[in-house]
Amino acid sequence: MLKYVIKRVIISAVTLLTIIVVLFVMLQFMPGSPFNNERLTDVQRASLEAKYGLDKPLWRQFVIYVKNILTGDFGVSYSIQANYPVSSLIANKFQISIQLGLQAGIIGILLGVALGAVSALFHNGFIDSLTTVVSMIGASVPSQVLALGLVYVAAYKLGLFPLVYKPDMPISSTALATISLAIFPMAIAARFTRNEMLEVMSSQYITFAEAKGVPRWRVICIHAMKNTLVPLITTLSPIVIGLMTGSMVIENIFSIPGIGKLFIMGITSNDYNVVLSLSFIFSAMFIGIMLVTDLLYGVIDPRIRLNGGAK
Amino acid sequence: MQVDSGTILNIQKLSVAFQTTSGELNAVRGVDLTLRRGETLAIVGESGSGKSVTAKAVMGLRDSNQIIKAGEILYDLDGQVTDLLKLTKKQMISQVNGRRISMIFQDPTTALNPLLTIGYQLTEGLRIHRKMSRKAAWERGVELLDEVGITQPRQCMKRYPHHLSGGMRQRVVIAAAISCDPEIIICDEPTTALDVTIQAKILELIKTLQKKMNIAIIYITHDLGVVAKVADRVAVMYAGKIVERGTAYEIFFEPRHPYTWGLLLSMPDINAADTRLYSIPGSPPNLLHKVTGDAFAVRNEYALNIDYEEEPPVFKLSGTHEVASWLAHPDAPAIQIPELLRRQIEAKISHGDEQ
Repeated sequence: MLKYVIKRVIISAVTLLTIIVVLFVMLQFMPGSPFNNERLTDVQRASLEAKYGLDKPLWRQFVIYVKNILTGDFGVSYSIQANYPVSSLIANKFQISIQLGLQAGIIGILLGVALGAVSALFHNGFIDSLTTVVSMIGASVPSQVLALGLVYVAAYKLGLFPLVYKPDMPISSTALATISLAIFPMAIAARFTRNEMLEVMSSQYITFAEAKGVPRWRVICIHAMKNTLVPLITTLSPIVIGLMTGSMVIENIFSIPGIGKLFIMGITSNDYNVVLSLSFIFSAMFIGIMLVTDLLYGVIDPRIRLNGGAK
Repeated sequence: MQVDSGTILNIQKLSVAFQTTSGELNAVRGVDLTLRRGETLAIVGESGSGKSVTAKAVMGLRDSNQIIKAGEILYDLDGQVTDLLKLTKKQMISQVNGRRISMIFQDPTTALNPLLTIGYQLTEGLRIHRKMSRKAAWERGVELLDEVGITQPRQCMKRYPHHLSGGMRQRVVIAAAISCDPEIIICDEPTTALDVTIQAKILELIKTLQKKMNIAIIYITHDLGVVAKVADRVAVMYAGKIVERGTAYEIFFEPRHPYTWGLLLSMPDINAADTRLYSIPGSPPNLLHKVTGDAFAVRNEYALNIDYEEEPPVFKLSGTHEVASWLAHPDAPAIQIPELLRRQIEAKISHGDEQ
């Protein structure tokens, strides 16, 4: 197990380093420099470059860049909040995004697993058909379409929720955003759970458990659920990516001051440091979730945990 | 109802069908079987002859598209003769399965849950049926593993199925099957998926445990070699019906049904001069359609005209031997057992290769 963990951690670190290199190289390809003001004299420009370390050789710049990133220093913002550290800018917005993502992810996955399991257990029944339709819609309708619909009906027409985010009511003003974001993970989890559960329930070890006289709830909860949930972990990565990309649009629709909204603002206002930092953070989160997924898989499935020890 | 006290399971006129998209498939068409305490009954037949469906019906392990058309399975449940077919799945699971009747499966590699430890799967029955504490059940599990011949049972309890070889997994399945002292064990092709070298050991193990615990065993198999090693009585099934039944001696040495002849001839014989292995011509009938006459008639070189028109009744040949073939009718032409088979049987008798 330890060997496996070390191997996976090293692979993740290498991937992250590669991403940093790519980001750094892309930065070099950007036209111009941060000091494009024509009124600057050569001396002033040189002193500015010296101040920000841009006069140093490229490899030195890279080492400093990596060192800074790893210590959480992402440079300063140029236009959103001039000279304000990007790390603080992100930190301020991070919490609300995480809250939204967790709400949507947890609700979506729990609902999805429940729906999927029920529809598998009552295969070809009414709930099964309903789940199939709902998950099809959920997986194919973009979250922003749903969000706009929800805003129109629930917030504008019925007035049940605030139209935009209000810091003093963090739950009810993120409710619609949460629902819009939760549909995708729910659809994925429901579809996956249903198929997996159907396969598991028809397998020989379930018959064996029944032949042993294991009560049905126990067969489902212990024998079938574990075997269903292990492969479900593989859907965690697409779900998290879905939540991350979804949040960029959803946060804008609901004016939620999270990192998704910050990202879009950074792009539209050419605030390079913000865009680069968020690209890096998103990549790191994605690599992190893949690492966690793989390790979780190992914890739950003994065949993987032993890393080919005995097959 | 049950006549003599030795009978513990009595299957009467069991008919089972499957609802399929192309119609109703009559997998089992009126099967009568009795099982006596401590004996070994083998049900022999090709794939699709209905032997597995019959056995699974006893355990209430029914597929969702399965319909019990008729019949009853009488079993003595706490002094009360009960028709197992009338019990709900829930009742079967809480009162019968694992506790009184258990099952050993064909493929031990798929019968064990890959994500649960051997110990958990082995002791589950004890904890549910015997209400044992986790610790007591665990200790009993270690004993059981020792009993089925697993070395280092204590370590084995903590292992997962993928650590174990096929033979060891089958031993675990057997240990789980005997854990609650059942009266009946159904063995569904218990050695088919195992190495030949392991097969004999597993059969021997089942036999030993059976003697020790006085368990009645139903073997479901197509392997007559297995049958010869273990069975007291044999029922030969074809197309959902029992075509011949008798003691193992009667089936192996005095077979009367042409299908039984075919089965015996298709057994590899080490003394055979002919190097080509016999196989019964044709294939079993499609049970989606109604069978007229004898289902085996079209594959039977000895078929009489009546075989195509009317279903043969059961003829009693002795107290234990019965055959469903018109050839056993007193007016039927005297057809002798095939020459090749007769020679094989004589060779066996002279070799003293009896049970």
